[in-house]
Amino acid sequence: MTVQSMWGLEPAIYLFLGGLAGGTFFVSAIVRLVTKDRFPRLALISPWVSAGALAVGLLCLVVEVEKPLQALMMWKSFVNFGSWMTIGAWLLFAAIAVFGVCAIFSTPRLATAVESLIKPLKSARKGIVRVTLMVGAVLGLLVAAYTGVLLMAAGAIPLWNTALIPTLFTVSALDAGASVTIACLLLEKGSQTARSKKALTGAVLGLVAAEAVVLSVLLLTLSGGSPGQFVSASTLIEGSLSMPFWGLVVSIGLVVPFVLGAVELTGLVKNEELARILHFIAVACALVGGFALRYVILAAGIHGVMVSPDTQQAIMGVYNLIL
Amino acid sequence: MSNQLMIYSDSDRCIKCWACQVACKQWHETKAATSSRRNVIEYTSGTFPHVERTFLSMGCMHCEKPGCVSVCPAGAITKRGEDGIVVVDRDKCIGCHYCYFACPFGVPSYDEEGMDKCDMCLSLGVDEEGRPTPHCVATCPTQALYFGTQEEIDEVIAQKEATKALAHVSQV
Repeated sequence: MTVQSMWGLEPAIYLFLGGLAGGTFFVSAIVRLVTKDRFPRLALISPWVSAGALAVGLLCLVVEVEKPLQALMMWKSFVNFGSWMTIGAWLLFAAIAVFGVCAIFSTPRLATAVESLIKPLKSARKGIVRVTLMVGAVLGLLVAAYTGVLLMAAGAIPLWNTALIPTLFTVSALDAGASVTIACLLLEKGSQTARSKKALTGAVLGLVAAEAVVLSVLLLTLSGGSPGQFVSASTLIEGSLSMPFWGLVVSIGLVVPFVLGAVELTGLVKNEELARILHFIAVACALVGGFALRYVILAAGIHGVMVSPDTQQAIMGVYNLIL
Repeated sequence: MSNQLMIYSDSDRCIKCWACQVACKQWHETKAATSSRRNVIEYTSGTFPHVERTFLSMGCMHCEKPGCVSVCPAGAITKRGEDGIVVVDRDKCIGCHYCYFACPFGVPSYDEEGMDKCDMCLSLGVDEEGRPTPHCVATCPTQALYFGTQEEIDEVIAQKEATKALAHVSQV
């Protein structure tokens, strides 16, 4: 079975970066709010990573459509609010605006420059950051979930047509977000980050376990589902996508970060420099796994009409269908 | 009764000659290797030596509740009230491909101007009754394609079933 190619690499990059941006903003905002913005590098890097990832993701989305310039005129192109894509497009627009404002006001030099231009903002910096962190956290979570809802709501793809897809993408996005937040904390000077890092590593362990559970439930449900669902699940488990699935998604994306996180939490590695390197490896693996997950789910989303005897019968009996 | 216009494809008569597909591409001046509004599909059933090949000419089904209409972000696809034809406004379409994933039959195809699909040749004009003339139907050499309202197609199918039943009886 050949994999579907109507949405290729660019939408997969967008689904990954959208999740990464939303997850990173959500997790880092919580850490920043809880610790009262104690970590300057986290405050500086995480909103820019979120805004940048979302911007690049949206760029991938725009170049994929047949008429990119027309798509950018959002007030004309995204008008049917009965479509999840329209709701998502405006959600992404709001998210990137809030992430961007948060990033600007979290960067001391830029914030000072903006304040010198717009005088009344002078005393509002802390408030703006706080509000954008809170609003952005909600938007970030919604963006992460929306990447999955977009696929679920399409309707004719047996693999995607389940609430497990948005669940899986949201959990995976939070995992990626927690990993990026850990990476930001690793760049922090001083040693006050230990507690936050430990809490986040624990969160990553929980999220990886949750992701493994959701993925298992998804594959089990699909394997016992309609012929279209069965073919998609087989493509992942033992078909043409089994190598990236078991190698990149499961081994590198789930097993390695879980083992390294567990090693970190048990305190087996005494050498601080080695522990730091292991942390970075875990983060890199989580990101590779996150991208591979989106890619294989997209590619295995084979159109029902291509695989399902049911659908072929439906075509034969289509006259009855449309009455 | 519904005023829904339909194209009905009779798989008992189709010989997979692709004349409908060629006519469609010529009349709508479809560029080579871009979109395709009508496709002849084949599928096989049974096992050797009792294998059966079935041919079917397929295009947009103009569904009663079209999935493509509800998912289109640009609101470029609409179902006409007067005859039930599902039409796409290519000026509004941004070519996001989302409708392909919403169509149960995988019908929408795309070129640089957006989504392209069967409009029952509405774009080529209508007769005095306001009806289009689908050129695939007019071209089909084996008369496997029928065009008409739901009532008219109902009649065609009823007649076909009756003839089949009669043939069966006479065989017995």
